[in-house]
Amino acid sequence: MIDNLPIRVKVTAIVMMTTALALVVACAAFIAHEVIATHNSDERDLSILADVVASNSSAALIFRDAESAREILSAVRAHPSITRAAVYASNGTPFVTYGDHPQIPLAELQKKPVSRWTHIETFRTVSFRGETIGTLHLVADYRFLRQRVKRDVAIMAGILACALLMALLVAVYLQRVVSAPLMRLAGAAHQVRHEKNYAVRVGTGAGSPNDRDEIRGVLDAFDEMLAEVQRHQSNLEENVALRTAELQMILNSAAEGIVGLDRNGAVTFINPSGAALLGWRMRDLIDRSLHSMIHPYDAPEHAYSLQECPICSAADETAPFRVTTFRRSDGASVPVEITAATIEDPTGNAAGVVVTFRDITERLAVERMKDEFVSTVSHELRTPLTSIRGALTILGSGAMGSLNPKGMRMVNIAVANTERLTRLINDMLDLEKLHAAGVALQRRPLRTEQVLAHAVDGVQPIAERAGVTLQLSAEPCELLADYDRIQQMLSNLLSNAIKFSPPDSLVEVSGAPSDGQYVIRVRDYGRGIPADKLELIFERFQQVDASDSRDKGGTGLGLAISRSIAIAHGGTIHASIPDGGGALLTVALPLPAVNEEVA
Amino acid sequence: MKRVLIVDDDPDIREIAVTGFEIAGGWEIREAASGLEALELARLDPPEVILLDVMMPENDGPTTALMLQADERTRQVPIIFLSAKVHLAERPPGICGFITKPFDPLALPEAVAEIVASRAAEPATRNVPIPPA
Repeated sequence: MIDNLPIRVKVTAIVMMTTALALVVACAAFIAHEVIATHNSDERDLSILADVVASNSSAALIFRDAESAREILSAVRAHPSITRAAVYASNGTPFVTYGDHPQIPLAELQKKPVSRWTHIETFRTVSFRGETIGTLHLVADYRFLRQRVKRDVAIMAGILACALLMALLVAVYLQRVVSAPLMRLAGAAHQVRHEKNYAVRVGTGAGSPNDRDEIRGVLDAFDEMLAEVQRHQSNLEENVALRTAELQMILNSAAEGIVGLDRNGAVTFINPSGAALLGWRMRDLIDRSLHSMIHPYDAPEHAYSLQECPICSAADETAPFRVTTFRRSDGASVPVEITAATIEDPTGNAAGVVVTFRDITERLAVERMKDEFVSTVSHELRTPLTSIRGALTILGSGAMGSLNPKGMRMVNIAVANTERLTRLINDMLDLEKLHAAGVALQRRPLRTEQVLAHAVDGVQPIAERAGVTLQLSAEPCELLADYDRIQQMLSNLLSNAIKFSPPDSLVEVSGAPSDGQYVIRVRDYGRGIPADKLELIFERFQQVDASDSRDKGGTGLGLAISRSIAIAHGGTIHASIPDGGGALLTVALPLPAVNEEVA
Repeated sequence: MKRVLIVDDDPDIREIAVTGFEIAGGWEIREAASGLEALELARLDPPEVILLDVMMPENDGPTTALMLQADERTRQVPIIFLSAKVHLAERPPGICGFITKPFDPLALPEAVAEIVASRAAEPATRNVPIPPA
């Protein structure tokens, strides 16, 4: 409880208590001394009186002069503190008495001594010529002493009171030597604590660390700490401002739109490019639900529900790229490509989503132009080819008159090469279409045994002409794929295998599921592929041997197209050298996931 | 004698096709260089079959086909598209067949005859691509 008192009071109280204690002890000591001194003095007085009375009473006692004895004895009344007295004869009987002295023999009296606390008694022998003739008995009380003590105590009390009062005044005045700086410190600390004001200062600034006044030392240390805190704070603020500026610069400079969303899909930040793309001011988008701003419910062709929204679902998975449509502030639609990534907080939970998006209007336009170019080229190249081939065919048929063998030979060369040209055009356009279309294939459920059998049947005539036997073993399975394209790829691989197989050899075709994929193998026993060309052959216009193109009628694009088809389905294709010679082409196509839906 | 109307803006292709029919024999051959010309000739003397190029300036194949089908004199005439495009985005109704370029002029008449014959049997759309062998 004492601890809770303010410093002022504590210091004053300490001073007062000490002072009071000192004064009280001093007074008590003084009074004690007084008492003892007075007591001794009284005793002495009484002793002297006793001697005098005793010697004076001897004559009266000898002559048994009771009257004279009584008179002499009553002289003790000069001392008012003497309450009773008596002279005893030698036989112990009281001769004369004074006061309320009991008339009892000496022996009995001596059996009842007075209380030493309240009375003082003395016995004197009365003697005549060296002979004891009687005894004097005096009893006095302490009335003087008591009065004296009372008086002293009263005086002491008065002095004590004055002294304490003065001490109080002085203490109250002087306590500020200690408490004032401490109160200042306390006040400043309070300010710092509640107002976060680090600019306050308490010290004089003139003290050194070795100052023997600890309080001063504390005040100066306090000031130094505050200064340090202020410096630290401004440092931090500077750093934060710098970093923020840097980040802001990056965000502002990015050409892509970058938007951060919190867990509820509300915008936490957006950079200028992003806001510009959407046609809003940056601050109009903050805290708004991005989905409602840019994926509205009322535009039927773009209406995603919140669950379907690809941005909002990015919290569960990171989709590398998605093409979707945003709505601008003016209602116009913008095709965009978005990448959404989850923001994780330090505990690993999803705290939000960062979405980068770019306007792909131009890119789509370019792609559209490319598609149109492809069709136009297709048409423009094929039209003259039609005429060339048509004319040659008619010529070669002999319907316009027969040609001599050499002439026929010329026509045949021309026809063969127009065919080659046609195939080349077809393949190139095919490849271009595959690259451009990307994943826009018709993915339907496809039975592997069907497509493999179909492809094998398709190349059967070529195989027979080449004297090659086709052997097929396919495990039935269902894939999601474009039937025509898969068949195209398989026909390609098979005709390659047949092309490079010697007569009377075998081409083995197998298909089986393995490890989440369906693996198709086409193996021939021909001359094989050199190890350093195993990857090269999949590039455009690459053939193992330059002479192959002319002899075997290939365009050099077959494997490139096959690879494009495989990749477009999310699969792979590669060539290898099997044991026993020949070449092995392996295609791996992904098996559909359990809950994958048909596009 | 079956009447055939060959419509293509490219004169060489027309000539090739015409020669093919000539060699085959048994055909009365007409040609038109544009959709409008085709419409005019067809109205005058409706042929048994029209071979219609898809990509032509002004009125392209599908537009011409629609025009032909709109006119009751020409509505019943089967139309076969000739095209370098392997897949047509829209297949207008009433198109009985599809022949891709380049085509073999010697095999053309037979394919056309087959389409006409089968259409007589069942008026459904058939796609009979001639392999460019």
